Amino acid sequence: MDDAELVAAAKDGDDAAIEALVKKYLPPALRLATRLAGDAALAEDIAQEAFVKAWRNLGKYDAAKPFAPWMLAITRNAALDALRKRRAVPFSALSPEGGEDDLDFAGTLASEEPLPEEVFARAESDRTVAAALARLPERDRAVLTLRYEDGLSFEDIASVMKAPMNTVKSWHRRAQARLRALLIPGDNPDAPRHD
Amino acid sequence: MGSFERLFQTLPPTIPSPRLCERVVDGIRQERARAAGTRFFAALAVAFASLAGMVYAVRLFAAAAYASGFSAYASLAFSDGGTLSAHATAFGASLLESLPGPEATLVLLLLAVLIQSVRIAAGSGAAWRLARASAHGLLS
Repeated sequence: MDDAELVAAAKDGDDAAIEALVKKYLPPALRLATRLAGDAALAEDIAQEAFVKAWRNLGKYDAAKPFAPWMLAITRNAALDALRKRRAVPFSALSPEGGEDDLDFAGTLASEEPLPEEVFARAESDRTVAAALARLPERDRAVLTLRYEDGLSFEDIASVMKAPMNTVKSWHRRAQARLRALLIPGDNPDAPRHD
Repeated sequence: MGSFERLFQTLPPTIPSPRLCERVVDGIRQERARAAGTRFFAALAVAFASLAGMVYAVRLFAAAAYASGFSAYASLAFSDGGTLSAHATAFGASLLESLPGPEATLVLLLLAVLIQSVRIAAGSGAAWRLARASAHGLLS
């Protein structure tokens, strides 16, 4: 059964279809929730809440579109709600510094250049990537997780983030630059590159 | 493979536990039971309200039918069938003319609401019982 058929069956109260959808989409939902919440127990609560919300709103799901971005958008909203309620993170940390004004500037960053080998060596030995990700603003974490862990296209990420695709591409470049700066000390994301 | 793809592969995988899968499915079942219960009780309330409204509307209709002569015409249909068949067209026109339109419309409207709400209550009641049984693990 494809996703549209599973959703139609789930709407009719088919337990097997609900279980199939949960088994298929719980891993990416939990992954995103974990990256955004930074706390395994809270991430599990967020994932559960996201699935309940998704079930409640199944009638609004457009079967012509892929299910994953729709589900992950609900997960992201559930995570933001949970973080706001908990106030575990200052509200300002949920949005990246610089706002929208730096989007053009982000395009000048040469973030696509390969990372040095020592970054990978360190990442494998002491899990620096998870720690660096946790220090990024929520939007950066979401974009990078959706892109590199869930393998979503920019079009699908735009659908999750409810933003135009070009804006998401700029956020992605900015997020890459910030992550790079955290992994390579002395690499300033705000300094334009000319190489 | 790009540099960032490779970097993200060093992250520990996030694998949901079977317990979490069960928790999520249970959460959905409970939500389904709650939604079906809400629909059932709302439909039941509407059914009772429309039934009460029907009693009032039928009384209004009866009073209006008596005042307009509709009940007198209608009773002819049962008492004098022979005359009626000879003047069927004239009788039909008079009957229609004396019909208390607003009151009749109200009765029909409330009847439609009553039938629909009973249908919804019956459907959601069954779904509610099933969802509750499922949420409490009574179904295999």
